[in-house]
Amino acid sequence: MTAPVCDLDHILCAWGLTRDFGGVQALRGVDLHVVRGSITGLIGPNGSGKTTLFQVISGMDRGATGTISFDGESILGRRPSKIYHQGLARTFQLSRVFPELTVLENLVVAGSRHDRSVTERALGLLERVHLREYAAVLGKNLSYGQQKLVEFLRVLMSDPALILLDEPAAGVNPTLRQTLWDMVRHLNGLGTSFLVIEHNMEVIADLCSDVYVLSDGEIIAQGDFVSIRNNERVLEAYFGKSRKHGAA
Amino acid sequence: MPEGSQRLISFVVGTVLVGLAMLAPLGVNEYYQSFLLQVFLVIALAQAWNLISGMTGYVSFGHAAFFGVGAYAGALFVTWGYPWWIAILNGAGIAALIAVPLGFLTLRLRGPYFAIAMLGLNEVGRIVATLWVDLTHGGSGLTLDPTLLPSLDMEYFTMLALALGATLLVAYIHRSRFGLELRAIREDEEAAEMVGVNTTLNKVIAFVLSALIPGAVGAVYAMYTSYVNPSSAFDPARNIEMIVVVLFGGSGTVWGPIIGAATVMASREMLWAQFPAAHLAALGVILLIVVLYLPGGLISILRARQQSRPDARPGESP
Repeated sequence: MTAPVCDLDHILCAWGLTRDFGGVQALRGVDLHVVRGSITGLIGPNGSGKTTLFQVISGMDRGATGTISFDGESILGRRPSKIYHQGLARTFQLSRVFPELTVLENLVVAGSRHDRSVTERALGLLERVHLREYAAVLGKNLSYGQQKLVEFLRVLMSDPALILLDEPAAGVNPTLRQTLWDMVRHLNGLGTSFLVIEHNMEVIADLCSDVYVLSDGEIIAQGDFVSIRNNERVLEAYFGKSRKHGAA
Repeated sequence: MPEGSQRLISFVVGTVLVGLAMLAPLGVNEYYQSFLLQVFLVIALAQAWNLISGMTGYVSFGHAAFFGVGAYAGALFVTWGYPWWIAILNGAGIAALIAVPLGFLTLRLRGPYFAIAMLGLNEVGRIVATLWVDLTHGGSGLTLDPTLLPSLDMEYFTMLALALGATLLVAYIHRSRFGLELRAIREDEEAAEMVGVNTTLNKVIAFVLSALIPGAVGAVYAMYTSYVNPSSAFDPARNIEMIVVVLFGGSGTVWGPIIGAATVMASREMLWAQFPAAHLAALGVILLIVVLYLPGGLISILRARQQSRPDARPGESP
C-alpha cells in the first residue's frame, strides 16, 4: 500500500491516527489536515481526544499508529526535540514553565544553540508583551496568566512554521488573553500556521478558517465555523440527543 | 548584588582558597595534610554527584561504583608497571566508558527507580570485585608496592587538582547552555524535550562526566591507601557521603559541595574528638536540622539576593 501524499498547500497531514490505551481507544483513525498559513481549530467535548492528538503529533506520545506528515516529512515516532527543530512547536493545556529558571532562561533554553543573538531575541519577545521587566524573575513567581504567556513566547524562540496551542487562554485574565490572541493574529499574518484547541467558540469563530470536531476519538465534522455550528453530529456530541432537536 | 560582583568575589575567594591549599603542605603536619586530602576527595566526589543529581535531578545512590572501578583500575595499572598518572587516567577513562552504555540504559528510569538501579550497580561492582579473584585477588584485595606509588605530597596535589578541576567543570557547565538545558531537564523533562532539548543525550553526557571524576579520584585513593578491596572500593557509605555533603552545602550550586564538604568533614573531625562514642549520631542530628530548616543548604544563608515576586500589576490575576 502506498503512503498518502500531503498536498503542498498543507503544512500538516495526518491519516488514520489510532491510539489505544489498554483497550480504550483514545483516537480512532483520525484524519486531519492543516492548510499552510491558516489558523485551524480543534474542538470537541472533554475527553474527546484533543490533547491526545496533540501528544501524538508533537511526538510526546509515540505509541500511535497511522501517518503524520509535517512539511513533507513523516514525523510519526520521531522524538519531540527533533520535531521541534523541524519547525513544529506546541504549548501545554496547563502551564509548564520551568519554575526554577528565570523568565529569560525559560525563553533562551528554547532558542537555537547556534543563535548568538538568542538573548536579545528573547528580550525582544518579552518587550512585545510588556514582560521585559520580569526577565530575571523565576518562572514560579509569575502569575498563572503570565506563565501561560511566557510558555507561548517560549515556543516562538524557534520561529516555528506550525504551532499547536492547547487551550492557551484557559485561566488567563482578559488583558493577557487579548495580548495572546493579538500575537497569534500577528504571527499568522507573517505566515505562521496554528492548530488551536479552544473551548471559547467566539474565539474559534473569530480566528479559525477551518475547524475540526473530535468526539470520542473520531473526527465527526470538519469545515468552517458556520457549517460546524449547524452540524447535527456536533450538536449531538456537545448537547446530547435530547438537545439536538431544540438546538437545531 | 550584580552578577559581575558575585563572580569577582567567587574568583577572589576561590583563588585565595586554592593558594592556601597549595601552601598547606609547607605548614601542616602529615595528619592534617591527609585530612585535607580527604576533604579534596569529598569535594571532587560531591561535585561529580552534583553534576548528575544536583543539576539534572537524577538522584544517584550508586556513584561509589565509579569510584570503585577507578580504584581497581588505578591499582591494577600501577601493579602492571604503568606510571601512576597513566593509572589515574585509566581509572577515569574506564569509569567513563562503563558509564556510556549504563547511562543509556538507566537514565530511561526516573525518580526512585533510577536511584535503586544505581544502588544495584554499586552492589554488582562489589560482587564482581569479590568474585573475579584472578584479577582482583577477591576479598583479600590488592596491596600496592609503595615504591611504585607517588609521594604523599604528589597525591595531595593530585587530589587538589581533581577537586579544583571538578569544581571548575561544574562552574563552567552551570553557566553554559548545556547547564541551562540540564536545569531545564531537572525542572520538567517532558517540557524540556518539547522545546528542543535532546534530553537523552544531555543526561548521558552529564552522567559520563560525573563518572569520570570518581574514576580518577578512586585511582588516587587506591594509591593513597596503597590497598584496595571490594568493601572499601564499593562502600555504599561513600554514596551517602556524597549526597549528604551536597545537600548540606546546597544542591545544584557550584559552592555548595565545597561548603558542604568542608563543614561536614570538619564537624566530623571535631565531633569525633569530643564524642568518640556518639560522633556519628551528633553529626546526624546536625544534618537533620540543616535539611529541615535549610532545604537549600548552607549556601542559601550566604546568598545575598533572594528571588521574590515583584508587586503584581493592577488588574492582574494572581
